[in-house]
Amino acid sequence: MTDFFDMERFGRLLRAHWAESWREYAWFAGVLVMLDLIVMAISFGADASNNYWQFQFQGQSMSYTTGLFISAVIFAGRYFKYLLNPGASLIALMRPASVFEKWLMAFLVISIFYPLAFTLLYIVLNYPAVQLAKTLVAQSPVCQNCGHDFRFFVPLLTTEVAEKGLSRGENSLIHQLFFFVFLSATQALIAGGTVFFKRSPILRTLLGTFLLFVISIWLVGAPQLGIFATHYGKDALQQYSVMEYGLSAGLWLGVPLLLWTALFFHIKEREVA
Amino acid sequence: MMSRHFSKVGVWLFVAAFAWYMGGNFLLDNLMKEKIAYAKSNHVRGRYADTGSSNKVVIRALGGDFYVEHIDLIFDATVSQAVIDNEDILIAASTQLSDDVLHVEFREATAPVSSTSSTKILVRLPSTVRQVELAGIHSVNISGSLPATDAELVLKSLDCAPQLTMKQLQVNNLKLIDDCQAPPKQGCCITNFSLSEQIHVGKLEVAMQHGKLEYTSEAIPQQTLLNVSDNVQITGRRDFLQSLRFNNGSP
Repeated sequence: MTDFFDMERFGRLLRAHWAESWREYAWFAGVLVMLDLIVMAISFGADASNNYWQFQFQGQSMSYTTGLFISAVIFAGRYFKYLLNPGASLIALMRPASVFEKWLMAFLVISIFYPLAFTLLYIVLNYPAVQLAKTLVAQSPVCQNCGHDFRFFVPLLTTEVAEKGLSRGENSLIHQLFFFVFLSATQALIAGGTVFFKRSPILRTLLGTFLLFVISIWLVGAPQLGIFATHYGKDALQQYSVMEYGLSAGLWLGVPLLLWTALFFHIKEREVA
Repeated sequence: MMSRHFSKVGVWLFVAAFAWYMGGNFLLDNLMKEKIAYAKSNHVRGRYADTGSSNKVVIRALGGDFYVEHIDLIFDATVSQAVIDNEDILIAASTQLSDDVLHVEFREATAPVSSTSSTKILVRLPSTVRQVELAGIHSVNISGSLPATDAELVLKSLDCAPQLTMKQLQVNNLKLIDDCQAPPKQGCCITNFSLSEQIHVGKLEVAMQHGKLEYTSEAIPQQTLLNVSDNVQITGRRDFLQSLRFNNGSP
């Protein structure tokens, strides 16, 4: 056993967290299921003339990324909410585990387990809906071969480029990877803010993020995605220079890495305080 | 209070992350500006092509899912060559004369941007052209004049759901043909022909199976012959509708 990391102690920490939080996570999942079902019902009811675009490949991709991004940011903002309660905060911070283990658990739960759980929920709920929409469109008397793309979207496994050989890469693997890196950075920023600010943490974090966003737009303009940008032309990716690859990877891997590291020190400094 | 905050490693790491983002963004932005400037300098904007003895032009977009959003097509009695003015660096234009047909082709160009501020494409054709086929272009504005008294212009759309808008067009005989090859279906093979301002046509012939024909110009053709199915919606002024004649034969 070391003070830094012990597998057995980390396992106990995870079990304790699950025992304390599973009800809250179940409610969170329940709300997501309800919202998804409501959106699906509205889509089925109102969109017959548009051939159920929401259930086509592009629509599924948009629904998934929008739903995951918004809910994952809310989830990250709620993860450390026990710090608002002095009693619960004391129990959590005094728990026999190292700061690294607490940080690792936060990283795993927020940035790995939550997207996985959301993806699983999305597949279970949306697969039957996509098949239903596909059947309804196929039954349409005037639509025999409309070219609708009802492939089921599974993140990182189905991409437009791989499946259709298209030159545009809106849904390419690299684009999807960027989404997850960006999501992780945003979650680290929100979680870091909620640990750092002792009073009104969510409000202050949102306000601070908004101010920094405005300052960055004012100073350097819109975020540059580099090699992760939607690329045009079949050979566009090959046309990026080594410098662009290095800068893009350095920027978009460096930012989440620094933000997650900052969260580690925020937790540590909170414990000391 | 601020000094207490800045004595913390977490705060400094956050500041470093922000600085990292700003610095990286600035450098990537500069690289991108250089690439766009390079792409613009390599982009061939103007192309000229002799139509020779040909009076047929095929304008199409080539390759996979690629299409051109919009072009302006002008029949110009003052030019003797086809002139293509393409401002869009995301699109490469080429011309080729084969079998007495001039092919104007648009391909997707590799460019370091996902959209450009200028996407205007203008195709200017001599007024000796008598037939134009269009494919892979969503929207076409057609104007100009074919002053010959016996001039007949055939505009044929081979596309799924194009919008062909005619304004300030003068020709003796105008034939609009929807020749979409895919089976009739919802969301495809629906052509929209719109003839709006200052249309001066002696005889108008339209052949289409699905879509809309809209005629709102004040000048009514002397004769209008339609070969359309029940799936075509016709909109126009009363005098235009009264002048319609329907023909069930082939176009």
